[in-house]
Amino acid sequence: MDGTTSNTSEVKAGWIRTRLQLDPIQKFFAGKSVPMHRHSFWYFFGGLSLFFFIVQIMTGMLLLIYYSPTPDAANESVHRIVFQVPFGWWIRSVHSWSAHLMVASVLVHMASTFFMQAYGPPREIVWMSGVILLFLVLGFAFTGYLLPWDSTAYFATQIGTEIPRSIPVLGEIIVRILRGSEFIGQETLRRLFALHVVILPVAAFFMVIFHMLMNQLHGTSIPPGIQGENRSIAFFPNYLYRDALAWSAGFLLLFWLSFMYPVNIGQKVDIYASAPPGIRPEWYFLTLFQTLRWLPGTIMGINTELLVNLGVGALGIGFLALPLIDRRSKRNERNMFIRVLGSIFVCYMMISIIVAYMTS
Amino acid sequence: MVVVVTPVFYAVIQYIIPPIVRQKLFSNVLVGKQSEIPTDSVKVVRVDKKAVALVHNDQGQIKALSAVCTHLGCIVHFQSDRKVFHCNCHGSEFDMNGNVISGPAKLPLQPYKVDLKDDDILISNV
Repeated sequence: MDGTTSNTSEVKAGWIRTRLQLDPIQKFFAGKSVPMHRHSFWYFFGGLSLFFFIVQIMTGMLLLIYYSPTPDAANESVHRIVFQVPFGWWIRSVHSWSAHLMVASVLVHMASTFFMQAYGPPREIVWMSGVILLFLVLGFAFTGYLLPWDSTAYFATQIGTEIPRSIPVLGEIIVRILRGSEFIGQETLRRLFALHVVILPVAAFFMVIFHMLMNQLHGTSIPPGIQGENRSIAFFPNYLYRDALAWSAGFLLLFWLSFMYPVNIGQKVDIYASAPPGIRPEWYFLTLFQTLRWLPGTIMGINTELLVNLGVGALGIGFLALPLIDRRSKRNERNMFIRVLGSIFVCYMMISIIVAYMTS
Repeated sequence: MVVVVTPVFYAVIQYIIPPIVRQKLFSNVLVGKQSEIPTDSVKVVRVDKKAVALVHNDQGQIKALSAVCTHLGCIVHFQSDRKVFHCNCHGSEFDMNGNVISGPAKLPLQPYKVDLKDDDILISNV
């Protein structure tokens, strides 16, 4: 390269840097590092969650081109995507599989953050925004499930929206808000569609930005007890390069799953037909499903669904407020009680999922 | 990177281009009754999401013509006082046989095959 070409490139780069005010950003990333230790592998799952979220947004936009959110046309439009539109089956498969992988990577990311006690000061808000993102991701999964308007989707939504009914005073209102009327129908589809493609994505987008911003400001945490073995690498370009490799692995997995196991589409729902045999929710809701199957109808005279609702609510609030509850994390000490509690919960989740798969 | 991005990009472009929907073939579809259409008049009906003009001419013949203007696809309307099909979009005009009288349209209105069974009018595009 001669001197003139090099000078021209530098002038162009300088022009862009000045216009976009890139110098402060470059300066920030130049000083940023990521800790490396025996548990740092788990850091990749945050980036992977973001990757699958981006895939969701992109494939979701593509599906919107052909999808019709009405009971008359929804199932036919999905059939058209799968059987008539070139590569429609693949786009839909990628959307569905990336949803599974997004939920899985978010859960692993949450679990690793939990067990590494990364929610301690000053990262309480990072944790809380992460828990809200987990709720939003589960909201995506729930609202997207009805959209193909097939029998399984219909009855799964029927059950899912029926569960809150047992909550005193608010139950009826929650059910009506979710369904848009007394029964699952046009209003439900329209409202879940609005939630799935506009309300939740906008909320998730801002929450992801906030979560990442907070994470950048506070930096990556080091688990209590391993500070001594810690070393660090530069965020840019070293860690970003490793993150790109993790994204590539995620992409390859998604590619393989979507090609080898394309997602099926069921027949259009007949609202007067009985529920199909073997109906069950997706794996991430199986713990709740199996818990309801295990428990009797009433416990000490109290409706089981009400108890489960209260339990899920308490668990959600407890999870959200974990940094405020765990006093040891404030002193950056290991909290074995919280870890054992978390391990029991993870074991219960796994067992209930396996049992639900084997018995339904 | 290129090896991965190129097929994905190709698939997305192919996905965005809507598939060609072939015109459905139909035969002997009941579209109306002769007695409903007075002589020298036209009745427009919908067949397979398309507008079809049923023409009852002064010689007592029944014809079926596509009501879609052959210029840019607007729906024509029949002006009973002048006995012509007029397109409001760009002013093309067609006679009761569908032939072009004036305007930018160059091709006649597409005819359908008509079969009469007693009073029933049956049309086909086969």
